[in-house]
Amino acid sequence: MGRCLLAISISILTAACAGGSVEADHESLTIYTSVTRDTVDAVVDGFESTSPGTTVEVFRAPTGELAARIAAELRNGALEADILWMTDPISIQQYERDGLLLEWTPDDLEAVPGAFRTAKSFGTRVLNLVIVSGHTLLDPPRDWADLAGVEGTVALPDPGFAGSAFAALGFFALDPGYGLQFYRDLESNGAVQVQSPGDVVNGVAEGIYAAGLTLDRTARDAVDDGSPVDLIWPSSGAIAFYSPIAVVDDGATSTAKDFVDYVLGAEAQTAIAATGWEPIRDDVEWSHDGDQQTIDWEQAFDRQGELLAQYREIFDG
Amino acid sequence: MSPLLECQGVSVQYGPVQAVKDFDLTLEPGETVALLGPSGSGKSSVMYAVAGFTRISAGRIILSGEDVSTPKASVPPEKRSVALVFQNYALWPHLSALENVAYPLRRAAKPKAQSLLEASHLLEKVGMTELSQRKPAELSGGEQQRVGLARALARAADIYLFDEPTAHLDSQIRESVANEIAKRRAELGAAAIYATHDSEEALAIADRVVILRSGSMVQTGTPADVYERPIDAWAARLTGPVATLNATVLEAKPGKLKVLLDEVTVIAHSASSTPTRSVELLIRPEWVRPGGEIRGTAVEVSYRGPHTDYVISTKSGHLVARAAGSPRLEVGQVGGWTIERAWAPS
Amino acid sequence: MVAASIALLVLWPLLELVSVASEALDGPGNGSLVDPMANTALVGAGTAVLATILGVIAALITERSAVSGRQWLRLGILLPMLVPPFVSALSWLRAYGPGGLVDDFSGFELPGLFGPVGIVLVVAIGATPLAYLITVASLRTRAERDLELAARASGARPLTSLRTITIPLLAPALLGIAALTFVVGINAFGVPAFLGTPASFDTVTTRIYQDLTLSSRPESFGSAILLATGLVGVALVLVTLAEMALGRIDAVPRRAVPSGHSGTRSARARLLTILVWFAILLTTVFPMIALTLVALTRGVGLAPAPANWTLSNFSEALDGRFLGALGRSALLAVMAATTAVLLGVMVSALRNKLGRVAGVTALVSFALPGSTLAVAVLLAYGAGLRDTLLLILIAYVAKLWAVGHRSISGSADNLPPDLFHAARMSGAGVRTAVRTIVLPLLSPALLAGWVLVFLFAFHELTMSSLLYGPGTDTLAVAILNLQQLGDVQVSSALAVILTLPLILMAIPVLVLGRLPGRLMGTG
Repeated sequence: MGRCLLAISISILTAACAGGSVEADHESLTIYTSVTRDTVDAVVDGFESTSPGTTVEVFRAPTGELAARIAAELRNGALEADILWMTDPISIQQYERDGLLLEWTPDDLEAVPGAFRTAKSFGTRVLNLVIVSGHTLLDPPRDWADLAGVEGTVALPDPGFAGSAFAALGFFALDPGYGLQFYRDLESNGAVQVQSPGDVVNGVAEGIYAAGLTLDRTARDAVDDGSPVDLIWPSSGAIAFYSPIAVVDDGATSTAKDFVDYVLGAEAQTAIAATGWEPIRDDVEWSHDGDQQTIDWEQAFDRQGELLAQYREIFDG
Repeated sequence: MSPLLECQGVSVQYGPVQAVKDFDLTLEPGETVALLGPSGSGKSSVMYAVAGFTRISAGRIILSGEDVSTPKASVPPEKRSVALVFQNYALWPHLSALENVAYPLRRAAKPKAQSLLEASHLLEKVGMTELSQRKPAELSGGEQQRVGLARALARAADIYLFDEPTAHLDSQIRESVANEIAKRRAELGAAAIYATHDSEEALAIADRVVILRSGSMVQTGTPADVYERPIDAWAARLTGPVATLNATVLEAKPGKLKVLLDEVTVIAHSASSTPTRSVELLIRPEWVRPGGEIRGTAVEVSYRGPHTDYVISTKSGHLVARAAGSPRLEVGQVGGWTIERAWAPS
Repeated sequence: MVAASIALLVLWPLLELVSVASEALDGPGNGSLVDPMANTALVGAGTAVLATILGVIAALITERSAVSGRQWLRLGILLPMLVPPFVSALSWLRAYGPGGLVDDFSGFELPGLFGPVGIVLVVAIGATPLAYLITVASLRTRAERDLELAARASGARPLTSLRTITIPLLAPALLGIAALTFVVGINAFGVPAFLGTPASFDTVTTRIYQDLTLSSRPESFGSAILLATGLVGVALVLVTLAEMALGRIDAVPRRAVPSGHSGTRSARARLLTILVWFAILLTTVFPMIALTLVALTRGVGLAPAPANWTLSNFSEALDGRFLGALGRSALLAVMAATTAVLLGVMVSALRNKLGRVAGVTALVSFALPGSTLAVAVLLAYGAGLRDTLLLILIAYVAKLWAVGHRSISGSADNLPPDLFHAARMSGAGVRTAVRTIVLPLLSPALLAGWVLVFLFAFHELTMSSLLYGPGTDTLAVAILNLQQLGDVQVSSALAVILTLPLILMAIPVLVLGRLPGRLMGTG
């Protein structure tokens, strides 16, 4: 009786194995990304329909988790991803410098503004860091500097958790007009740190916080859903950064290049815009809310460890 | 005709415990053998070895001339022509009484309708027609016993094993079951082994009684043999009430002794004629008659209806007696008794 | 062969873990591990105290006072079993957290929900059914009603008989319950991940998760392994203790339990019943309602009124990618349940020394912290099976076959071997006897075991969050990631999808299959 049952269980396990494992198909592409799920889905669906026979495996995780996975895979041997598609330009810098990424020229390279690309990674969308404020605030902030004077608690996303929050840290720290003093002033005004830009908007919508720093689409979605919040475009300009995509050097290179070309193309950019993010191409329709400012992200990367440590001193110490 | 069953030097070992030691038994067609012994004496182990549930560690079991159990190989139970009535009935709780009885018929590859029909006939024989649709949980112990019997009968077997049926059947049912088995004996040459710790049952039902003690056979013989000529005091007590008294041997002849008990001469039957000076006498209560020269004080008097049991304190020890009618003595009274018969085991 | 599969499932991964941990011991950066350990001990102790008290009180009320609707009350007390712990945490956030339903209406939010207080509350409520079930079983086997009635007849008042007879008789069981619920507390991952991490309150399990999936520092792998090894050591010691204290529950033969009992339906009994129902409402039902309302609401911060209701969160939750995760969760759960039940049957069939060893191993593997088991499985099989569903399945089966085994062996042990023998005696071969007699008789237990394993596997987060890869994320992992990204509404909708249908499906099984009794192998 035991033997018979064992045979059954083995056959079930084998079936599960066959069903569960990822087939190492020639036409399959593995993407590691921290970009918002609906955006990735829209682009992948479009790509799959234009390239029949190609299956795209997407591993989507928050920035930190993705970094851990890549580190673990490198420790075990090789990166399984063919494409890295990150939320912010800083998270991809390490891989670029370690020589993991392929240097090449996409078809539509010129469509990507020079500030939003490097030799190996190319911007796919623009993210704007903006201010979100609650309806209850009588005197809502107009610009970044006003945040430190808000009557109520200001919420900031955690730069250790969210790439966008680190982009903000890099911007303020490197801009001589603000410096780390910007964060010190916020902290002394009672600002708190939450995990993600989404947490900021939720907290403000629920009335826990008066205002906060978040991403444009996150705030816009909440406004569209009818949440009691306002998106405030800072008068000095939103902090603009980009979500880079890159081909892994020893990945399924030709299909991977096709995918990147597709993402930079007008069709995918229109799809990205439809999910609420500013497209990288200026020939795709987009209504701009205001000015944008940006910095040299490679420089921010160079000082990543130091900036995070200084930030921690302000908020944890 | 060759014997139906032969056990030759069978031993059964459970870990360090030897449950059956060097057991021999021959069962002829038409014979009913009772295995008599206290609990733990190895009765169930013998049953299970014959049925094929227990592997034997030595010896062999032969059914109808075929080796079915050796220490190395064993014919599985379902391939042996053996039926077993279980101690606790072992009726399947998810099947009705009728389905329980039909089960062996179905296993014998009979069509369903025929199986059910035959099963209902068998239930009729044990007086269970009315309750055939009930589940075991809805039956009393006695009723479950009958269904268990009917199920065993449904298996056309050479040997019927009864493992300590705990609920006693009323006489009418017992008779019809006995008739059924007798019929099968006549038709098919079937035989039965009946394991019990109840000596009255064993003596009443069996052609031959096998007495087991700690896994070993102590004595075998007809019911009269084991009752009247027990091999020792232990076997005597197992088969019924008995008094053990020491007596001085006056004269020894083959099979007979003249002994002195309480200054009274008593003739005792004996297994051996080896001359000894003193002897242990076994005396059954019905071998003692009221009135006589042996004086004793009644220490227990128990009225049983048709007869009365007495325990009498004599100079040589306690004597048990059984006499018809109501009590002749009260506790503490002194009376005289005669020992009509006695048995001196070797 | 059974031995081989158990060794492959449980023993080899653990050996692998210990050997790597001994290497990691010399590694750098072990100093920061003290905080998570202290926090874990705190959560364990808090859970043990609270869950034991709640479980015992609930058991005394349902078993010892003449309450009406006792069967329903029992089911109500078991309700938290059907809610995955991390969904409880989410639902408490939506109900009592900042910006939660209560906050919206009254401005009240539960202080300390983020942090040890909230974690202990939610974990303990999840562990209460376990404490309750063991207490009920112990009340039946050790502190029989007659003993209390004898005390009453000797002049003791109800509370005196409780204090002088019932509680002392239950003392060893209480110790065992405390040890088991302590283990539940220290093994908890979902709740501290949702309620502790935002408050920087790390436990060993959340630290393992962060070290393994959120940190790219090489030394964090070593510290995760050290923590995992420490956790398993503590859990094993405690479970052995519990088993020793509780051993006699299984040893005592099941006897007919008088269903009703004397005692008047007093006003006090009615009050107690109402109190228990109120507690169930407050701790489980209301939070689930709050969760569902959030999932139904159009935007964060809007009142959960019908005017703001929408199904768009659900339609987004049922979108392709999540549907895939749902499918994987269901597939894994079905596979794990089937395999675990088969293994359980095989082990129960071994009525010998190996069977007992296997039974003990089963208990051990159930007590194993999911985090530890996942790390161990990763070490043992990660090289070949990384990122496959099979890897997750191995971890699930290693963890959950004990549930299958326990629910089956209880019934199998109560199945008289003579029923099998009688079938053989009637001419049935082994296979026929199993098919016609053993399986039909065991089928309620098999079904109960299957459903239990399915539930646990379907709701599993701890191991899948450590083992998933591209295309193998489960629904629970998807919820964790969404929650981390601050997507309140879709994560709520997914949590509702993960939980509510199963509650609706499980209730008939609970009613018909006497599932809870089988879980404990008693009553």
